[in-house]
Amino acid sequence: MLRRVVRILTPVVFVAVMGLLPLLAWLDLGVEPIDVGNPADGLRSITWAGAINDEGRLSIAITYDTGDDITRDLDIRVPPGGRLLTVDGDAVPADIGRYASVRITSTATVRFELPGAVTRYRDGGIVALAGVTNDSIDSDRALFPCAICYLDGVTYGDVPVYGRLFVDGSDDVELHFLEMKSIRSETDPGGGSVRFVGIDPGGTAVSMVAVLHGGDSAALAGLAMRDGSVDDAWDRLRTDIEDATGERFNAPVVPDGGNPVFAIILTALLGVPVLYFVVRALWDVGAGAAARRARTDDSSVLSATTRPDDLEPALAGLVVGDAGCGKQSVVAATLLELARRNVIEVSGDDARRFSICVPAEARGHTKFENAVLTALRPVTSGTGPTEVTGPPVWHSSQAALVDKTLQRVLFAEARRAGLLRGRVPFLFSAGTAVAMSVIAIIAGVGLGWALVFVGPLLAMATSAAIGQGLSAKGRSARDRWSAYGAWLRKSDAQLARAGAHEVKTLGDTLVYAAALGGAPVAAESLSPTGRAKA
Amino acid sequence: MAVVVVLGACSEPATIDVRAADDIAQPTFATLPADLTNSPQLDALVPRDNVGLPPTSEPADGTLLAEALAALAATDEPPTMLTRLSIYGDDVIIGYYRRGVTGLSVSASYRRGDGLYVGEPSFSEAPTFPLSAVDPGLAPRMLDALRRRFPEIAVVSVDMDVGLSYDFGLCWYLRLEDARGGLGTVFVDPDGTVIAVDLN
Repeated sequence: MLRRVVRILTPVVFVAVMGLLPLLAWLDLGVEPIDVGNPADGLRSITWAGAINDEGRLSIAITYDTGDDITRDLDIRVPPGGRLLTVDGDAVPADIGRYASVRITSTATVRFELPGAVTRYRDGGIVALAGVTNDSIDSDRALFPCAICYLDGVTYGDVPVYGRLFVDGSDDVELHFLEMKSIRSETDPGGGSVRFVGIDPGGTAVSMVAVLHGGDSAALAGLAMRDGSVDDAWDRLRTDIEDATGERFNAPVVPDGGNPVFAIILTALLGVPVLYFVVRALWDVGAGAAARRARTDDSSVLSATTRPDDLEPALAGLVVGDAGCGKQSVVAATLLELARRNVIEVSGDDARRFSICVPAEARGHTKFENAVLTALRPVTSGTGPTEVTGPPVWHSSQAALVDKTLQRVLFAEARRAGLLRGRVPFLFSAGTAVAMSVIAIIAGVGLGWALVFVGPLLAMATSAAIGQGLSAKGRSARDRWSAYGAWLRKSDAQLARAGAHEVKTLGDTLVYAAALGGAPVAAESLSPTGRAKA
Repeated sequence: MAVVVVLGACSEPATIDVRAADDIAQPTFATLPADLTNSPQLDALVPRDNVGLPPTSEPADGTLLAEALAALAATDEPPTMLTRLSIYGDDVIIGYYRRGVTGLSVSASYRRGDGLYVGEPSFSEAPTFPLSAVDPGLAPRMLDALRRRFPEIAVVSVDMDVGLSYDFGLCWYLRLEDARGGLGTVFVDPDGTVIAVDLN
């Protein structure tokens, strides 16, 4: 029962654990948050908001959140033409309307209006909060000026920047930034505004150009139209600024946390072992049903009157296994074979009472035969002569151990003979696990590095738990030996009643009959478990 | 351990994302008050303590502007573009190009009772602005509003000049004085919106 549970659970665990990789790959396709790696001290964030009226004028609010309660000096710089300057709602005097100084604590919102930042073209408009002076980015004409320069007590570091641009009647707004990285944006449902977020590395000035596609935006209606398209204008502006400053505009990116190709590949790779396990299970169910039918009804098996080949009796019994009906024992067959070859001697006149003499020099031809001889000798006798009287030949306390030990030897011999192979080949499942893990590592999926090691271990456990099955050669041998076994069971009633002591008389027919279920009395009397199988 | 926990609780968020729409409000636009006395930017104009002394300079007389412009319109070749418009306590100076010829700059002075005197041309390439941008009724309203709100302050001159408009585009430039002397400048849009206050 436990073995059956383990056989079922192990592949389920393998699939479940390896299935985490495609699952994480698919989940990674969602929006990735932005890491603030090295936050600046003294400035927790900057929030920018801008709205455009029907004259193309901007109303701007910039909120500085220092993240502490320290009172600081803030030197205000507004772009040329900025007007109606207030800080937290209070009008403040400013040199020529552009330069002011205030003291702030915790947060401060600087508001002003700015005409002239919006230019209309036939198919859209451009909002330019970017400028160049002496081949450098003009901090005063930016989205906001250099914070680390004008706000006391701010250290160099990452400053999160949040923003929202309100553009009435436009739902196609393209944003481009200078000196800002890790940018994400979202256009609000129904249009009207676009929100963005990014990192201002170093707390310097950030510039922004918004390209408004569509010439029918209400925000552009009151502006004179210039020649050319908005895309051409943007290209020129971009080239001029980038060439002059050497800086490059960054645009909000599609979240690059995951690539659907990797997710698809990982899913497909996971499907391979899943499909294999399912087919294998269905195959085993079908084979099991056929074996049960064969055990109860020999008529379903074609008979063969001649022995197929010289396959070792124990191996013949192994490949036939459950497919043969009747009591059978590979150990019994081996002992009978050893007796037939006079390696050991079985003496007695009755199936119910006989003795086995194992000379000191007794040696088998195969590892399994030698294993049986070794098992038959008491530990104390070493390689000396041994005489065992039975049945039972095997002491009940040692039967299970003998059964298990001999089974391991026989399976190894069958594998060497090419009759058995793993039901789930280790190389197949381990290879799949490693391939999935490597792809996960390439794709940046979590757990990839862990499963590149854990995966093969799980594959090994799965292969071991599911066990071994007949190879093609084994299945061919099983068919031939099953047919021979059927003939043995049907053709000779004497075999069914024959005891171990009759091996000299009946020869290899009794040997193979014991292995294939045709000599239940002999098989049972020599079997370690006193039952069929062993 | 407790220190680590406290520091961790106070530290910046490790990750950020686009804020929810409700978290960022739409900025509003200023509106022109019916009474210019209530112009919000005038809150930035804080009078100095002059121990009750009034300003010594003569305040500009905004009512002269309409008379001066009427006199200008009555000339043989009235200009449509001006280079300068200045209102003082007893006169108005108007600069423009004769017959619209750039470089041929003339300065006309208007005094109540004396009428308009047009000087001889001199060379100048000062930028021009359209006469139509000048609302003759705005100057007296603006000056009246400032006088009512800040009786201790005198607007000693009112100028419209591209050079004095800085980056604001065309605007009125009002120079202020109190008993101590120069106090500052108020910039006013042609429509009457007080757009900035610059204190000395």
